[in-house]
Amino acid sequence: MRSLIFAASLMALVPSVAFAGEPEQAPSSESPTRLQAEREAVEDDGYEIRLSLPSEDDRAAWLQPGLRVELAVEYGVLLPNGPAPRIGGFTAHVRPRLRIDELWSIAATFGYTVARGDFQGVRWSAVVEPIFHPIPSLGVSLALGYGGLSVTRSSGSFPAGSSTETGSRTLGDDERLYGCSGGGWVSQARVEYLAVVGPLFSTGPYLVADSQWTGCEQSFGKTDRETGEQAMGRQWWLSLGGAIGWWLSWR
Amino acid sequence: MAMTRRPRATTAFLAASLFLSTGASASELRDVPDAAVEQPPPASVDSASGAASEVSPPSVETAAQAVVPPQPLGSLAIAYPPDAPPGAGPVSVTVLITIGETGDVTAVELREGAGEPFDSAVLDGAKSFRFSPATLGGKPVAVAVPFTQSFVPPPPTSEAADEKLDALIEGFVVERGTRRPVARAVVAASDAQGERGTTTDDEGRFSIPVAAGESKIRILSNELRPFVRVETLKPGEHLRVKYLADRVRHNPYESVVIGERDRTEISRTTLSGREIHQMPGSMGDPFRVVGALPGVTQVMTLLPLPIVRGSSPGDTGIFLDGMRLPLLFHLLGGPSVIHPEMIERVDFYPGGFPVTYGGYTGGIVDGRTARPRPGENPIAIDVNQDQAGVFARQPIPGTAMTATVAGRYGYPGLMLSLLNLGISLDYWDYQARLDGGSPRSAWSVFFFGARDELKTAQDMTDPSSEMTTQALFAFHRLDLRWRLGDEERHGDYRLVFGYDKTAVAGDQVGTSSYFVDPQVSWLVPLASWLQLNVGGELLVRDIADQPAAPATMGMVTEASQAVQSSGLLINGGVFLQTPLRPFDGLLVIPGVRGDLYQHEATRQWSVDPRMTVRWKPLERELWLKGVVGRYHQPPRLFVPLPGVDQSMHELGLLASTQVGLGVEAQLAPGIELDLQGYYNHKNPVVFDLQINRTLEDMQPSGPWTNPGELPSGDKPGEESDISRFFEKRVGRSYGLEVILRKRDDSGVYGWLAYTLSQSERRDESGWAPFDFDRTHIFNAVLGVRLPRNWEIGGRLMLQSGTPLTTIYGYNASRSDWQFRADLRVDKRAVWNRWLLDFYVDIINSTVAAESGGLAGSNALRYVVPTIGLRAVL
Repeated sequence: MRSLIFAASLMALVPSVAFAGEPEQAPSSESPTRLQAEREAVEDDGYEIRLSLPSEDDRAAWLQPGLRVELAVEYGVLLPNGPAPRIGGFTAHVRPRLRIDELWSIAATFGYTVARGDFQGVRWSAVVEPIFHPIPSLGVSLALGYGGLSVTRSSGSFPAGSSTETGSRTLGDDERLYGCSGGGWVSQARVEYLAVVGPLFSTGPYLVADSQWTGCEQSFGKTDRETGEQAMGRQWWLSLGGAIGWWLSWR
Repeated sequence: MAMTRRPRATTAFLAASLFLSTGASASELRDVPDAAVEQPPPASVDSASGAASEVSPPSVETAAQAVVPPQPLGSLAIAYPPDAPPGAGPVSVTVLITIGETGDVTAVELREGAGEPFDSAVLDGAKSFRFSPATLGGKPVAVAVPFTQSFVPPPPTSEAADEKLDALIEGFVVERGTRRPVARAVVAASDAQGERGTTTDDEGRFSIPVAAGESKIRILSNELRPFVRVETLKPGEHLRVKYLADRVRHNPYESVVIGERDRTEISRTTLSGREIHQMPGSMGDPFRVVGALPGVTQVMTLLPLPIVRGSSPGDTGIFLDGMRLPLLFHLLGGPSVIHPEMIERVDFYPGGFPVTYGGYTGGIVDGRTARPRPGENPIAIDVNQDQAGVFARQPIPGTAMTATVAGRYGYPGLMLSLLNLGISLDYWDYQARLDGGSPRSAWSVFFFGARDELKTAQDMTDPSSEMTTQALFAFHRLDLRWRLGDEERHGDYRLVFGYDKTAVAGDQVGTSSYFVDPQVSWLVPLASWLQLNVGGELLVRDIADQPAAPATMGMVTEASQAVQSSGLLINGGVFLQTPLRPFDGLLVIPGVRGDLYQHEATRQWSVDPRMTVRWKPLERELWLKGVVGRYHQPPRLFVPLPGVDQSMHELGLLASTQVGLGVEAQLAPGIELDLQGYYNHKNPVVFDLQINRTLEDMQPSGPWTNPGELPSGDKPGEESDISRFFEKRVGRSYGLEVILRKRDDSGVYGWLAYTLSQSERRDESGWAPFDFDRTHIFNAVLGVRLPRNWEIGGRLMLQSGTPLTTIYGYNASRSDWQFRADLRVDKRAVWNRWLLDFYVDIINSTVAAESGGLAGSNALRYVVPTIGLRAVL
């Protein structure tokens, strides 16, 4: 519930920016469906306020090369797979995207998940995402990057047998970690649609298939007196899952 | 900008002023419409330089700011090049003009070009300018000033009989958002009778006749985005309009440097503008930026407890306009206790600070507030997921006074509740200030304070259980200031009243106190080559008696009994320094400071001689510098808390001897290199921040110790012992600091900073690394302004690990290197009457692991995103 509140607050913080910077008056004649009666304001000194007409069509503006910065909120889950547990929650994304031409964009997408459920903590990822636009508002991408987990089991005790551990080792797939702190490769496949709202703002949904390969480490609660370092349990988790989200995009 | 030549024909940078403005009120002195050298009017120079140095401890640089700028003789207009390509849009060219002692232009250097033929037109045309020379103390000096020529295509003309132009459009062209007039913009009209145009005046006013019917109006200016409008007028109609045009670029924190500050300290770094308000990872907090400078690391990168050249955090003084702050940051990594809009710049001394500062042996961080500028009246409201704040400044009609109010309320508990940690935190801070007087008699009344309250769940295994207060910190200050005189000769008079409170463990342990602190200083020129700077202060603090902490609290009881003071605490200090300029290019500042520390029957006093030398051996912008000095302080808790400023006076004063040598060079316009080496010898050191006990003090039950616990040093049957914190040790730190810095004068700012350091402590077994010593510290900061009011920035930090204790000895090993990457994105949205800034700031964007510095502790992974909005009215 609190995650929903957080996500809603995030959405509530930014929409006003979506409509800033736009001229109040009617758009160009190339988009008649958006024609509106001009609203003429008159200042106290008797001068009528005038803004510039749009210098280019909204959709054409979004096809121009240049920087876009995008925020997203999504809900997704990484499904259980071998030793890897189920990890789900809300994710916030920040994505600076460079539109190269009408067909291609390239982006760096940063995501941060507040994980809830059996395992709680944070999941993060940073991927490079080339995006293909078969039609102007549609995007299809395959992303590759690096990510990690910092989660602990919500309940339960320290791994059995840790009191007898005498050093760092790699756990078998039939053993369970109390938590995971580590990183590894991330890959994502995404389909998204951005509807142009104005020359500076567009928005729309997306679906993403997600995978993360994490080299988990967890302390056994012991310190090696020779090195001063902790004795760690290690295990690899391959997590697969998906999510649905919504983009807010500005140019 | 003013670069003045000393009376003995040596070119140097002088500090005319440095001021900060919000986007609503920036005056772009570098924009020079219509080929006029825009001189800062004397009033703003006085007030701005007053803002820079009015309430600071008097320093040498203030005496050098009595500069009369050069005045143009004749026109400075440069004609639009006849061979300019057709269809060329508005452009601007910026050059740096050096004006000699005779008023002739001796050099013209291109700073920002627009291509040919515009660059050549300005470079050639500027050489023929003539000025009355600038003067310093009545004597002509050479200066270098920036000059920007805007070229706007001439307005179109076409033949049309006047009687056919039977309608009129008149009005103003103003900036959207700020409503500032746009001068010298071309307004062109196209209608059935042809095309014609005009140019707006200094107030943005224009008037253009048109034919009845449809007219297409265009506005052209290099400052504005393309503006197009279609007007339909009836015969004889007179249309009065106000065209709101979008600027190409807004800068929310524009800092306009009018000259460089005359550097007198070898190791001071001054940050301002975007550097302190938009550095990635700083959450917009000016004081956090210090963490990215050479010589600085932290206990943990998220916690703003600075380790400056290997000193405990309590040994570094935190000041606001030269007044000590008892608490700099709100708890749990929160922002500083002063609203960032109040801070104009931050001066940081990692060591070698002047005699005007006393009572510390580490470094000095001094935030400087800005005196209001004429006509300034912004209102800024900022909100993010952790806090909400407001800043407002308004001249009081009918008076020469300006009122400023600011405040913030923090609610990080919302974010903490998402993580289900059973921790809650609320905080607030406030500032209220009244400024008045004249440039020669300026006064201010400044009332400010802050409060933090930390709560935890009674049952930490059940985060939803009832919350109880665990810690409360609060302070309030009333600061009365008056400066009498001008920049060359003045007296500063100050009276500070304060209240501090610290309470932990539900008020079972804590302290509260009131104090008064009068201060006075004078700056007097004795000769053209000699100044006298003298002053003093007297702090009298009454610390209330506190009940003894319950004995059941174990180590907390013992610690509180040791550090809590009560009764009357008196600190007095006097200083004297005599800056000498025996010949051009050499500055020598000898000084001495005396301090008295008295608490009850214990009285300590110290004498600290210090000297700084700066020498410019060549005509190039290259300085050699050195400092040597003694520094004393009373024992201070390693974490500064309100009212718990000093304690354990019976241990005597801490002392350090500091030596530094360095080189400073300007490699290119706006690019500086600073390299310095230092050696600090500390004897004694007390209250050092220690966490790595010797292995002999660690009593493991088996071959392993448990991480995450402070080794208690308990031997079976013995009580816990904190006496090690009160043991006197000898310390030393030495190293090399380098910073390559790009000033924010072209939309790009940043720096590369590297520190190579060793910090050690000596006990009976010899020298060993300090518990928070880091051999290599590297920081890279970059901020870039992009089109359409976007800004992006990043900060990378890489530092070597801290010492770990092993069976091979105390601090014989090192933890892993630490890496952190911060990102920030800013977007300014422009509305008709206001501006909206949206930002995303992510600390530790790669969620890199970080050791807490405890031997064998669990590494901590964290990420702190800040998403916020700031409205400027």
